[in-house]
Amino acid sequence: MIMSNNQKDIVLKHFYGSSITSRSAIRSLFLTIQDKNDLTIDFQGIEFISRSSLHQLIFEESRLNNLKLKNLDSNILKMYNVVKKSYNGAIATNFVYN
Amino acid sequence: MVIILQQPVFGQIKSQLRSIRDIIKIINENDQDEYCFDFRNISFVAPTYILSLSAIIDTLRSGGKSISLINISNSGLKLYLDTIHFPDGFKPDEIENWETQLNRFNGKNYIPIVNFSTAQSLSETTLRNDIISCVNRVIKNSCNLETNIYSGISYLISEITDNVIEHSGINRGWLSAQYYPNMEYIDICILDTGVGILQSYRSNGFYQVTNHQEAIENAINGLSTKYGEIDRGYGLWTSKKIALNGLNGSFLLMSGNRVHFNKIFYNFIENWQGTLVSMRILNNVTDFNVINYIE
Repeated sequence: MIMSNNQKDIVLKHFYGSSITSRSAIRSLFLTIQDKNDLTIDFQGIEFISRSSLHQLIFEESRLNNLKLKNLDSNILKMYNVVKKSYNGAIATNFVYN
Repeated sequence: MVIILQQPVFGQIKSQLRSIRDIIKIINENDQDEYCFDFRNISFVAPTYILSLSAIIDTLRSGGKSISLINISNSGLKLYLDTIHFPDGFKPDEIENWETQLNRFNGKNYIPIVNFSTAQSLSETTLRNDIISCVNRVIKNSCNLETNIYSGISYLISEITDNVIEHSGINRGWLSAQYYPNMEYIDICILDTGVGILQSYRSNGFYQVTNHQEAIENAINGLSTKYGEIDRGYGLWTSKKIALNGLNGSFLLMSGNRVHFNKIFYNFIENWQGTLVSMRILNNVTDFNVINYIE
C-alpha cells in the first residue's frame, strides 16, 4: 500500500485497547477528527472488532477521501471483506430499486 | 405490597420469564407506593431472572416507588446477590477502580450484574468499550474458553449491547452471565427498559410495522430500524445464527408482549417495556468459526 507523506495515522489501540465492541466507538472517533482527508486507520494490536464497528468504518470509508487501513489481523481482514461485500451489495440493491 | 417471588425451574429460561411475568402482572394490577419483594421461595437465581428483576426494581424506583427485599434467608444466596451487586448492578462509570473490581470475578462462574451507560461521547464510548472488553475477558478466563468460542461470545455480547446503545433510547443497559461447568453451558442475558423494537421502528418511520411480533420478526430477519443507512440490520440475525447453529445453544428475544425463542413465538401476556435477549452457549463446540456466520 502506497501512502502519501500527508497521510495521518489514527492508531485504534490508543483509543480502545485490543477490542472494539461498538458502532459508536468508530462513530465517535470520527466525529472528533477535524481533518478527515488522507487518514490511515492503524489496526496494530487490535484482536477483535465487532461487525457493527466494521460496518461503521466501511460507512465512514465510503464518504471520505483517501481513507486507508493498515495492519489488519487476518481474521479481521476476512471479516472486513465479508462486511464490505455485504455493504456494497446493499448499495447496489438500493441503486437498482430506488 | 408484598410480592412473594416464585422459584424458576433450574436451567429453564422460559421458567425464569414466567416468574418475571408473574411479578409484572402483580405490579400492573396493584399500583402501590411501596413494593416488598419476598425471597422466601428463592434458593438460587440465574441471569435472565435476576437481571430482569433488577431492571424492574430500577424502573419502580425511578418512578418514585419504595422498594424493600425480605426473607433472603439462604446465606449462600444472600452472599451471591451481594457479590453480583443486586439489585442496582455494578456501574463502572461510577466506580473509580472498576477494572480491579471486575477482574476479581476472574475464576468465578459468574460476572456481576453490569449496569452500563449508553452515552455516546468519545470518553464514554471509550470507557464502555473497556468495560465490555473486560467483561469478555473475564468470561473467557472464568469459563476457560477456547479462542473460537471466545470470538463467538465476544461477537454476541458486542452486537447485543450495541443494539441497546443504538436503539433503546434509554440511558442504561444491563448485562449478566453465568457459567454452569457441570452442564458445560454459559447463560448470557442483556436487556434494556427502553422504547422496545416496535417503537424503535415506528419512531424511525416504519409505520408498516404494527405490532410486537412483526417488529421482532423484522429485527430477526435483518431489517434495520434506521432508514437510509445501508446494510445495518444484521446484528440480531447473525447473533441468533451464531447462538443457535454455531454454538449449539438457544436464543431468546423479547420485546413488548412477544417472546421469540429459537424459532417459535410465544405470548408473554404482560408487557416487557424494552428489549431482552437471553442466550445459552455451549462450551464444548469444537468446529465453530465466527467468520462462517457473518454476513
